[in-house]
Amino acid sequence: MQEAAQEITVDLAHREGVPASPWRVAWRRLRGKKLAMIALAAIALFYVVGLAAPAIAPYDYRDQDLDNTSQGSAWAHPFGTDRLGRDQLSRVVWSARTTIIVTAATVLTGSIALSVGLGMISGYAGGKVDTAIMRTGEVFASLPGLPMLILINATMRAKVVRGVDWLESHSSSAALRAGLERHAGPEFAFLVVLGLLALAGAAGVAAWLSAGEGRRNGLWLAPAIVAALVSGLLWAVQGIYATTGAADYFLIFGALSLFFWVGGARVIRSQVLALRETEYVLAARSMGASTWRILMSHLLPNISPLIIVGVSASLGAIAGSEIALTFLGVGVHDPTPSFGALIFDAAGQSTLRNYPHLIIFPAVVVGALIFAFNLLGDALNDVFTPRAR
Amino acid sequence: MQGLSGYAVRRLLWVPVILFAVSFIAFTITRFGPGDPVTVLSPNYRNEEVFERVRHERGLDKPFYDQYRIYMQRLLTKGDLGESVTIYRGVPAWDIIWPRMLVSAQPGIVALVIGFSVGIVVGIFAALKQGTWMDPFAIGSFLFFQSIPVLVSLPFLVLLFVVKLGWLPALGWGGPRVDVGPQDIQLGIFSAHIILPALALSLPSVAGVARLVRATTLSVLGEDYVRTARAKGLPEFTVVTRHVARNALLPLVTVLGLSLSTLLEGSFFVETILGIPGIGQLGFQAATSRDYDVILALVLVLATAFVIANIITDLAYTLIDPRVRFEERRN
Repeated sequence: MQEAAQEITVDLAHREGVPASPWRVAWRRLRGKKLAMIALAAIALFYVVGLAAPAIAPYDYRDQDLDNTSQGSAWAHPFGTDRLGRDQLSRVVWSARTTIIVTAATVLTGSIALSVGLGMISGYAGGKVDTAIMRTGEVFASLPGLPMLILINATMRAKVVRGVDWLESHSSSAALRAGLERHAGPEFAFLVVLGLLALAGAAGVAAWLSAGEGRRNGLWLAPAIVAALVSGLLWAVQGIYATTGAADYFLIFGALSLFFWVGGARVIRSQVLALRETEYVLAARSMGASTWRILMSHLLPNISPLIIVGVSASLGAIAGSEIALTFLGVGVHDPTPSFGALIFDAAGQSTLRNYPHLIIFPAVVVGALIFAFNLLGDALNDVFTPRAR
Repeated sequence: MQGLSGYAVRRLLWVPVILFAVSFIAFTITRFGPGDPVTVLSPNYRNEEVFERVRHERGLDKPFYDQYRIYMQRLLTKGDLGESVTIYRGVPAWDIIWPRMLVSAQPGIVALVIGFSVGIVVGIFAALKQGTWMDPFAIGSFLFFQSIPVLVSLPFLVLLFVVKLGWLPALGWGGPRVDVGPQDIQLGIFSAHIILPALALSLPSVAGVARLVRATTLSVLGEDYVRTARAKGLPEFTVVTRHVARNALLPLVTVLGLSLSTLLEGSFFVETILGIPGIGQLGFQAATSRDYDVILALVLVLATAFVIANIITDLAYTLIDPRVRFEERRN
């Protein structure tokens, strides 16, 4: 009895002192869901193993043990070896790293930068800007996803590989245009120029937005930050993977981002449309707050639960897409390891018959990972939008 | 209804614009591919003079927007989707695609029937058992199958039913042959070959249907007419099938469009793993052998199907639930 009374006092004191932030409340609700916490732990384990792959994997993903090819479980190779004598456990650990890099890059560009940026601009600006962005989204949404991804990855790969090769050998940006034309062909240079034009267009929209407020502000920074993030990411990927698959990663996350922004942008746009008419936004505007300030400090915090729910829901789908593309031969290429390649190698009829152990480990890991992502996404959805129940 | 027909007309007018944009994007991408059709056509024999002549004859030396104009002209006036370069050299792309669509449709339809019927039963069952352990268990176990990608579940199904138990035929496609014009197709729907692909394709769709049915059933169960039906002493089975199910199942129309895209994506993996000569296997072959005109034709055909399915879904949505205001959805 006494203990219970004490607890109540403590709780009251806590409530009086600092009001619990929405994030703290959400975290407390999430902690109450056992399944979601197990899923979170599984995902965390996957990320730690993947990121620490060089330290954890017993072998390199290219190492061959030619005396023990297509071998079952043994002391030296707990999950056996593949047709080329490569350690299956190490291949799985390195594959986790591929999945993490592609998912993280796609989420940053497709699910966050593009969908939040375009959704907010579309919802807040309204009018022609809104129509243009949403109609573009409609075109992307009606493209058949998988065939388009196959088409992009099958046709663009050579250009991207040459482009990344060139980036690796030239660090000076002065000869960028000329170098691109010479090494990657005029089409790739055309694409780069098109991309720059798109960025400039976005900057123009931003400038137009802020001019409407009658004051100059920092909204033009948004496209610049996105550009810096993307190029920084490119350089980081290039630094880590000088020779193995940087081009593949870049190609896959670029293509996936193109298709993954539409859904998120629609949700965020509709929320911004509703929030735009609220009294606190009106109050902020009447006090002379800039568009940038309203977007960043009044609207962004209010749509961030939506962003988290959207991202968590898309993580499993993005990981699945990378694995699917690699399975179909248009994703990550050998020798860079990926779950898609592991499953493809093991799923042939005769391999299944003779070496069934090769399919089990990678397939179970992939199934568990995507299931964990979906469970966590469901739980976060419940936590942040209780009305949906 | 005035507003709705206006909405339908506006949506239909939007279709050609979307398809035009889709064709332009897809066409542009194919022209950026490594090697043009001429070099793909002749990988071993290289004679630049001959290549130049063939390029000129086929208009491949023109700028790509000219090529696009010519392609669209031929498509719109003659219905010509181009021809295969590597898979079946010289055969019109459409003649390759549509027999394969007939093959892919067979496991697709069976999977749709299985997925919807199992999903409906599970959803109604879960709603009736709300509050007991059976409700979360039934929904949760199918949520598990929804999370497992086809390319993970299918190898296990093959391992179990083909390798270990030996109940099902191994690879490929069978059944009676039918002549459909350009080539024969096999009606696998009359053979045991249909079972594995239909099973693998239907597993992921059960959970979605079950959850929707559960939600609608729960809302219908609270209605006055259900209480009236029970009060006048009808057996529970009659109440569920006559009064509840009828009203709870109407919103399912809206999932059909979504199921179409799930089935299509799944068919790429099912047909590649099992060796079924359908549309997914064609896409895989065309991508790996650089048969760009076939991929382009495939993308256009599928995009048309998607756009039409989406519009039907949206219209069905507004028809079924008048609270959904089409004016709002337009923006």
